[in-house]
Amino acid sequence: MIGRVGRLGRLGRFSLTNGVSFSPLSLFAASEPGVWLDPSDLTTLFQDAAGTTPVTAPGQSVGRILDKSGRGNHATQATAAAKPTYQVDSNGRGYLSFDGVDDWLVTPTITPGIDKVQVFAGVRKLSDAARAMLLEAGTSGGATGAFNIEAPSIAAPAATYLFTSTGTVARQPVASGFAAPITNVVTSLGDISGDLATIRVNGTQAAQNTDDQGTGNFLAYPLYIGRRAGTSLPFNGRIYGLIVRFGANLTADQIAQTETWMNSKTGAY
Amino acid sequence: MDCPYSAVLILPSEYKDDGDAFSEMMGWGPNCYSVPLSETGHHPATHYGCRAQVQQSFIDMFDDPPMEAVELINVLIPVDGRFLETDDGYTHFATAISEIGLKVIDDVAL
Repeated sequence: MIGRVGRLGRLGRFSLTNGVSFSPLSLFAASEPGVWLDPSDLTTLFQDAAGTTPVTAPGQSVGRILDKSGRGNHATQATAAAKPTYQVDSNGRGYLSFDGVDDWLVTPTITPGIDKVQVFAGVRKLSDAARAMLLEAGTSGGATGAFNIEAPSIAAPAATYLFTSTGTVARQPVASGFAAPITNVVTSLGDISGDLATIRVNGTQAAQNTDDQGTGNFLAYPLYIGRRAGTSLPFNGRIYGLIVRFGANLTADQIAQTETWMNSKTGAY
Repeated sequence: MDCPYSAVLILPSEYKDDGDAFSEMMGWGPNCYSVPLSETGHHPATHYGCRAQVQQSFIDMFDDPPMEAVELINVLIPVDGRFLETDDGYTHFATAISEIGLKVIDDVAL
């Protein structure tokens, strides 16, 4: 068993949860659309948007981070002033630092083809001073077939994370009591036809909205990371990892395994 | 590449296109001045800002600017501490715009 764990460790993407190996790649085994960003994996980070100059040390800007889901939805930023920075925290965990002013990344347009989304984010929120967009599909999470995660939200008190899940009607569960600076694994689960919008923090459900979300699938949008549409609501904090999956609802075990994996990259709890 | 300095650059809105064009010409990418600013925090933007980690060579350019940058540098809004040795860009930018009476224009849509 020890030998087996060692071999898995060399692959660099497995963790053990209840004695079972787990990789986020398994979430995309049926070719589910989405993206998996892992800043702890230096081989996925580049200083330029084209992906020609690798990131080799903390303090370097990140113009491209490769998608490990296998879908090819690499996130990029071509403008020098808007690139997040690769950093390593005091526990040796790598992350992307967003300055809360003008840093952001964007993926290509992703076509979900389904009305369910699961998002797992390892984050450190450094400020509650202003509404900020951790992640958003398209230019507004309230648009038809869109979603977003705000860190914090606009509503007072601002010590929050907010998830917006929108079919034709937006629903917004708010996780309160998470005052910055704070490190969390934030999970958001949206199901339009199931009328479920759930936000979990550090492996525990923090809020849920079961009101009607209307109809339709999540629609084709690019994913903006760290700033609304690249123009407003900048996120001030760190991203240790990000998984966005459009696919059938996950089991409780799959959610727990993914949160445990994300926490191994984040150190939130 | 070590970039120990935080830079805050603010332009009147009428020079945004010139600033963006110069930044793109220098290879720094499009839409460099992307933060809309005004005294009220509401539209329309009267100024645009950008914030970046930079090297000493970037700062040196302001002391001995290339000819094509002179006009642009002259219209940048003077702020105390335009360059600071910090990686806390959020505080640097917030302090800089507060000193000149500007606020970020935020989006209030869902």
